[in-house]
Amino acid sequence: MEVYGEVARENVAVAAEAVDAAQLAEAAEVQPGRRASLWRDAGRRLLRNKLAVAGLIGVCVLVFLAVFADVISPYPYDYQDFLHINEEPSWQFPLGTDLVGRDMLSRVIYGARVSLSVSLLSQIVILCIAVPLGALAGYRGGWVDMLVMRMVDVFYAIPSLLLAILIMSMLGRGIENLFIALIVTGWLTLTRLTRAQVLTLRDKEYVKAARTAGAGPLRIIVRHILPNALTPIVVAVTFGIPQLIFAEAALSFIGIGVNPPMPSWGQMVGEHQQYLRSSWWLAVFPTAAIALTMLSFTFLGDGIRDALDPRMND
Amino acid sequence: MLRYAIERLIVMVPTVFVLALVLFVLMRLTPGSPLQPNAANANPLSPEQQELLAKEWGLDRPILEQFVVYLDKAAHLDFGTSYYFKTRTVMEVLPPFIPVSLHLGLMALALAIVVGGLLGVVAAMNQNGPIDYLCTFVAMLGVSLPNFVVAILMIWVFVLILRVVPMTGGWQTPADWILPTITLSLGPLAVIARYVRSSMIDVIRSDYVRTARAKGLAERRVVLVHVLKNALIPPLTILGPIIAAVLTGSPFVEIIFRVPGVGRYFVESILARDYPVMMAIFLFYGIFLQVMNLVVDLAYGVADPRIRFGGAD
Repeated sequence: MEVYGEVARENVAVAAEAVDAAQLAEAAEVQPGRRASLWRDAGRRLLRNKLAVAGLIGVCVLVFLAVFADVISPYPYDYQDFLHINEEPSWQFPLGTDLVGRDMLSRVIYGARVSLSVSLLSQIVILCIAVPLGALAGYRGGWVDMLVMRMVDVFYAIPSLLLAILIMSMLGRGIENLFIALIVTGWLTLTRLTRAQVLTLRDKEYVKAARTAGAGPLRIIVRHILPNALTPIVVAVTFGIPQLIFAEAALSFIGIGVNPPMPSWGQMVGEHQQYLRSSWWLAVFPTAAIALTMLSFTFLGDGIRDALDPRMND
Repeated sequence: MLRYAIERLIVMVPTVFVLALVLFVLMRLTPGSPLQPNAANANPLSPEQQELLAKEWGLDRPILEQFVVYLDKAAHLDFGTSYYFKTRTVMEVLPPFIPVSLHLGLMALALAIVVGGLLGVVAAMNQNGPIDYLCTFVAMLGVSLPNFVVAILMIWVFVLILRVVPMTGGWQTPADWILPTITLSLGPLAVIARYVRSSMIDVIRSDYVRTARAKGLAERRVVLVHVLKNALIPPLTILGPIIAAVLTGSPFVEIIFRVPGVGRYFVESILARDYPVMMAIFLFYGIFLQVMNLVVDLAYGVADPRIRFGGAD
């Protein structure tokens, strides 16, 4: 899973967009006070990209479903109607009911909440770990850098999904353990990226100037280096979220993700894939939910990358 | 070249060793030892009998010593007895699954390389044309959709709605091979298509291709001799990660299409907490990946003489 995201990130296949020199100059270097206009420009470019707008709408719908799940969904996710077991989609149950009489629509809506909260929260934690760690390694260099990078190398040797499976099979399923597995396997890319960024930026003139003026390392990193490394970090975070959604779905599919009866799309697909011929709605709707979510985030991520860094388009 | 290969092989040893050590320690740390008289659901044997058993199985020794014993036996392909099939050893249970997975993986890989490569080449030749957009679209789908999602949609659309592929399951007839192979290949196919396309475009814009055109070579000759030969080398580097993707993707495809391969058995062993089998399969995957990465790197050197191995030459 890591593989695809990585390649997607490196590879730009969208037609080049004409950008004038002023925008380029702005994207290249962020000055305090001008940041707002960089983001405004990026926002404008994003809204011109049709696929990105489609992705944005998809993500907004998803967030809406996740936040207001208890208001929108017609039934609680664990409510069982024993008179309507395994029924086809109907007016009463638009997406049908599952094998124990739960409304599939409600479960798919609540699935958005699980999927999003797991991926967003673990991404935030990853951000809080990986960026300081990468910045420290890149700025300090020496043995700190060695240590961090050897650790990254060791983790890279094992495919991340296998590692996540191993951790979940050790800790047992449950949403807390899921966070641990996702964080342990998810910090690599961002750490490496931040380190590489810091490494290239720390010898720039403006950083030297700040150092000469007497700024301490923390201030230099936070005020001068990180703002200029923000673009790739934002892009990596945007692409990291669908990776985490995928990982959660994959683990739940195998049966070592969240604990039932908490609804997870991956788990619904995994549990119901064997009834595809007799009761197609059980697996197809959660599958469609995963597919649309992944596509929305990918479109949005591609759009954000192109909008923030027009030079990469060429 | 030979020296480089040997060096890489030597570096692999500590990597695999660390992998095995980590796996072993993690599995031993997992709760659920047979010898915890005070644990919930503990076995009903008396403490003295448990001590006897521990001595018999070597579980009273320090964990590092246990690891050395395990490693020694694993080196002789003895991975112990399956916890689930209690009367059979891992080496009796596991081998029949391997050829099936290998078969599926190789077919998917071949399909991904051939179709993905062709798609990338054709897309680059018709930049911003309809085929190019098709390529971008397929690549987008393949990159962003998890393969179990693709698998379900494949069955739903092609078997249940359109009925163009017979209802299958298992791995007996070639009809059983169609959908699993396509599903497993879609992700790698997309990655290859994208890589080949961008590599092609790089080469098409290069000076030597302009020179070839300028001296009046036929378009076909320019493409076949000058462009293709150089453009197909960089994509070789992603074959390593792609093999890993095919490998780790196979459990999902094997589960959904009822293919009796290693991936499916791996998941079953996880759910059954069959630690000896899990350990063996993890090691197998780890070593396999290391070897494949080495093979890919060496192949890269053979394909592109500009790449030199080792620092001294």
